Amino acid sequence: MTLRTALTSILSFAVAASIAACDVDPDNLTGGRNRGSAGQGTDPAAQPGDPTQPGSCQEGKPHPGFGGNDFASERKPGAMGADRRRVKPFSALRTEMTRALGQMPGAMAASGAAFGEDPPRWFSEPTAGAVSIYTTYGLGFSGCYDTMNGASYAQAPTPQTAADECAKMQRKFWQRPPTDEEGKACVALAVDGLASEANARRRWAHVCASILASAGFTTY
Amino acid sequence: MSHLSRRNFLKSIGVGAGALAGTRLMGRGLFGVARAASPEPTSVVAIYLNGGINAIFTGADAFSGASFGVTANNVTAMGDVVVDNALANAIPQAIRTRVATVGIRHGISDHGNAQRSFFASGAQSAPLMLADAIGGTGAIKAAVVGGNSLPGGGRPAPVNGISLQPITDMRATIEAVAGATPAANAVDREGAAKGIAAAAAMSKGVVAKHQASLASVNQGFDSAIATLNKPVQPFNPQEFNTAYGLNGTAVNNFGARMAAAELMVRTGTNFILAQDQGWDSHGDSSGASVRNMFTQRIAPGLRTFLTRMVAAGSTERNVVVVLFGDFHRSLPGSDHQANGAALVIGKSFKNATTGKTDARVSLPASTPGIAGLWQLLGAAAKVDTNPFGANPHTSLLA
Repeated sequence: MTLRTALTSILSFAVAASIAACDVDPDNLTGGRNRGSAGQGTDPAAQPGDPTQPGSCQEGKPHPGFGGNDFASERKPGAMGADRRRVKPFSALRTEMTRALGQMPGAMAASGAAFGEDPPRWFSEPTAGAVSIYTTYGLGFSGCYDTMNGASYAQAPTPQTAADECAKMQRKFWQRPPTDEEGKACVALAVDGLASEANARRRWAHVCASILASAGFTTY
Repeated sequence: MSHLSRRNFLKSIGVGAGALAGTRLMGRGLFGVARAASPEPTSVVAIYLNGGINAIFTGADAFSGASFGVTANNVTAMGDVVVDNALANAIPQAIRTRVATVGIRHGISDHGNAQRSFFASGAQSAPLMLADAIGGTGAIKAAVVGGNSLPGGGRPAPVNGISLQPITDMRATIEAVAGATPAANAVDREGAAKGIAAAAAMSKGVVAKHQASLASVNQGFDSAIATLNKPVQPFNPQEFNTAYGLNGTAVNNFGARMAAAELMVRTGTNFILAQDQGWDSHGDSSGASVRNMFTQRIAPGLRTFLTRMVAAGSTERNVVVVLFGDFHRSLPGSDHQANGAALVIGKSFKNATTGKTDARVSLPASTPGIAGLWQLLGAAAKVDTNPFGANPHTSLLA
């Protein structure tokens, strides 16, 4: 093997490896450089022999304590990237709402109790519930309505404007582009679901609020 | 004009009769999931003293003149049920004949195990099984007021689609069941129901991948949509604040938890959990500490709740209140006794006890365990099919 052949082989391997890395699920902490940039594409969990699935690679060594019990023995195997997302606590949600809308909804500051906000120096894992989801939606609606004062929101959504606005808001609020399915759900709400809402601005505000109430925004 | 067939006519009568009778005849579709079960609106309100319950609240006469500071003057007898005055003073006279105590010989003396065991029935959540069996038409069938988990931090998997919903703010909860004050930028319930359904659809992919860590998101969507699709139920936060002596709407103290429990009872919730922390009363051999905590923290809200929901509402609904904790406190140092008892209040009960200990805080060997408590609660809730089995405490039922 000549030096040129060897270098070519190494380079080819490196290119192939980087292309493969680009296919990794963006939610996974695998070191891929495109993390957080997509959220669409094929699900690696569906691929046979996928290294992200449990049992496909050598597991870690036991961690016995003084009593001889393995601290890690009760850990359940799970796929890489699965069950990583968590519900945003109120402290994160309030700043996220400001990021998404450019201003904090008026009632946001007084809404901490609806999310079970913990007192200082106390922690409990945040969870979602009917009341917190409704409250998020209500805050999102008022925040969206207040900021949607442009002329374009005075017109009822059409399939085209809904597709454009949904994609724009989903990209901004979720910090990733929507999948086709997510885009269609948003457009269906704007065009058909809210057809009985006569006030175009309120209709757009509902569309905006539904994106803010979705898991793409309320979890991270 | 639509044609009214004989079948449709009879069906209409059936639906009307079902509405008049409460929930028994209601089928799926009219108000969402409505399972035939309890014959009237029924709620079980569990008050859990996290850490343990001193037996002076379930059978004080066992210690008279001997321990835990019990004397003839600081207890009240309600038939065979003798309890410390700190608790007795919280029970309105009108319902004192509807108080019983249940023995629970669980053999557990560590907090974590007791808390897990009390709220499980096999592999399922006992509260959610009971909420499911009660049926009814409430959108939220099981709730924890002032928190988001069971004692010990457990977040149970849903049972037949029924999940445990956290209620942490009265105003927000009232808005969810009644709608926000109308304004140009205020959300409307009809639009919100559609919007949240769309949000759920947009969340499918994310939640599917994180099923365990985002389980509450799916459950919350379902409950929120069900709540918004119900008829409006108007409530006034100020009314609750006045009745329970509250200053705000956050559910962050026991009085607020009882107010939230009343709100949920009135919205049709079947099972409601209100916890109070700090009952691991080691060293309280005189019982002074738990008496004081009960008088200061528990009694005011409990008295108001019992007055409004049990004493005054007994013709409208069946409200069962159960007060219990991890285990009894032992002698001489108020440590962990490997048994317990629960005080139950409601129109299904009469003054009787299976929970009276001896002077050493021991229960008879024949006393049922934790399952017996849930079997009794199922019977008191008058469910058609008791998911826990036959009630072993039949002597307690009126």
